Amino acid sequence: MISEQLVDLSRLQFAATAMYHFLFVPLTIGMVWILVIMESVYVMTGKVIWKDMTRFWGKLFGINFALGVTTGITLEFQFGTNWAYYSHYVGDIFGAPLAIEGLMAFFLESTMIGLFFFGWDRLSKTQHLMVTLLMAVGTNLSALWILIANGWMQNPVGSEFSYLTMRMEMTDFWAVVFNPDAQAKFVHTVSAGYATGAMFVLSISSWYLLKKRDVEFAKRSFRVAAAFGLASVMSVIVLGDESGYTVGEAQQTKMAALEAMWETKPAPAGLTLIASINEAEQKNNWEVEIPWVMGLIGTRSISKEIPGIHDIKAKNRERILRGIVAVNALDALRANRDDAVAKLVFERHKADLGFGLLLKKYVVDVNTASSEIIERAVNDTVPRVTPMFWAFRAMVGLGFAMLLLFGLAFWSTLKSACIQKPWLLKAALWMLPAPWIACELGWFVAEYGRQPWTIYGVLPTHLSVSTLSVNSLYGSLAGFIGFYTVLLVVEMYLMVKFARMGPGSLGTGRYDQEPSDHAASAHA
Amino acid sequence: MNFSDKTLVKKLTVVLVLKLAVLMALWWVFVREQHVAVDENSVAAQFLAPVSTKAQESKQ
Repeated sequence: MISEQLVDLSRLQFAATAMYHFLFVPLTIGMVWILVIMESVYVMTGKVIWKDMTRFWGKLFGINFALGVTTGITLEFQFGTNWAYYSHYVGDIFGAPLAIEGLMAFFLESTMIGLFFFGWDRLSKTQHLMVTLLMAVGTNLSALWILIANGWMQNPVGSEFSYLTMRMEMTDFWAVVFNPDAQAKFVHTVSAGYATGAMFVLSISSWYLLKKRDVEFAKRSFRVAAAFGLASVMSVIVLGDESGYTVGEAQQTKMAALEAMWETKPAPAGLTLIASINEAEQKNNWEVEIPWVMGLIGTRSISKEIPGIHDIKAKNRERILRGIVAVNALDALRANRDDAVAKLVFERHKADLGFGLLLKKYVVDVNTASSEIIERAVNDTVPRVTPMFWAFRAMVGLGFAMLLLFGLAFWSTLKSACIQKPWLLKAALWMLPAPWIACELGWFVAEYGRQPWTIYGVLPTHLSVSTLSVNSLYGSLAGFIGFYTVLLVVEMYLMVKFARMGPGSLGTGRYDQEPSDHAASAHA
Repeated sequence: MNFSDKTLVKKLTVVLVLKLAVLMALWWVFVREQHVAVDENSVAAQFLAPVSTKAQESKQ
């Protein structure tokens, strides 16, 4: 059997690198569209301040891109190094969107980023705008293909298991592409990225306004960020609701865990706002509930029930028992591929094969699993409720706090009064980390909530890992965390340095705090 | 390109080169020697053992 320590370390390594990676990604996804908006205004109006805005915010965008690029590549390598069984089992499907992302989106994005920075004096205004637009398209296409891959892990459509090759094989590429989970995750995630980019620009602009420097530049940046941020955060909330609906359809355990819904409630179920969760006794000591809301979000109806954890576990117990039959039939087929009876039995039960494999965490031969072992495997099918419940609420709470902030910021720009409201500017400055925290919490809910599966309902996590040495995992984990922390510190240092310099760093002579070389040449 | 831009490009170039070097070093030290060859038989052995093994033994 695979050691639990090995599984935990592999999970921790992937989670740590993914979470570091996603500190860089949402800013890239969001800021690129802000650059498109600013440059479009420049092309339409010819006002040079908009070009300066594009160049200045583009510089901060470039720092983030340079520091962030390759932090995601280690994740793709980890599929091969740490998750070799996973890669064999589902590589036929999972590898396709990742390959398309590299060839189509990342190459487009990287090429256009080069042209964006070095093309200002070589391209016409319109050509440069097209480059910025293509850079944005490339960035978002990149997110699309990654989230198609991730969406398939959450809801494995368009594929089936082959006992001949012992792997999942793709049966319908377009079902994988148009997987409702992937599409809902894509729009929700990129909207969160847009909100992150908007918050970044809003916060730094607020700082300039508080310091009363580069006021015209900062006011325009503030206005763009407020409008774009308000639209983005509204999209995040609406599309998050859609994402909740797809989770309710495809991942009932995740839905029940993040709602701390132990019992199936009569339709339409209420939304639990807060609760005192008692995991030991599998109940809530008390809860505050809003009637109907969960039923509407999770089922889009007032008549459909949302199953509670106890009912889900009862169903999963049945599935584990059928899974044992599937494992035995598969075993017989491996011994004799022409065994017609085994083939028939396997076809009938193969949907539950993954549930049978859950027992492999505790026993070498699934047929020897006692009722106690089966019970442990049943309990494994639902992730821990407390972290899911509170992480989700913290994410939603931050989303609504950002909605309020962007709403107030947008309202104040309509009144041209943002500069007269220091409390608003301070709030915008202090809210800077909010979208990053919300994004990380969102990924936690999505991925921790998928446990105990790497591929939901198909492949258990403990069977996905490579049989590496624990020492090498400790070493590489420490190496990754140390290295990524250094990258983060360098990013913060460069961001703070160039944000402090402000648009004066462009050396145009039009802004406060021009660099000394420009001042010197102007003096000469 | 002004002075601050040139400094930034220099710093980012150093960061990128260091990044590639550190990633390569991490791979060299911790991953290079760790070969995990996976094929249908090893998956069967991992997922189905020991029943599979017994069946193959009895077949032989």
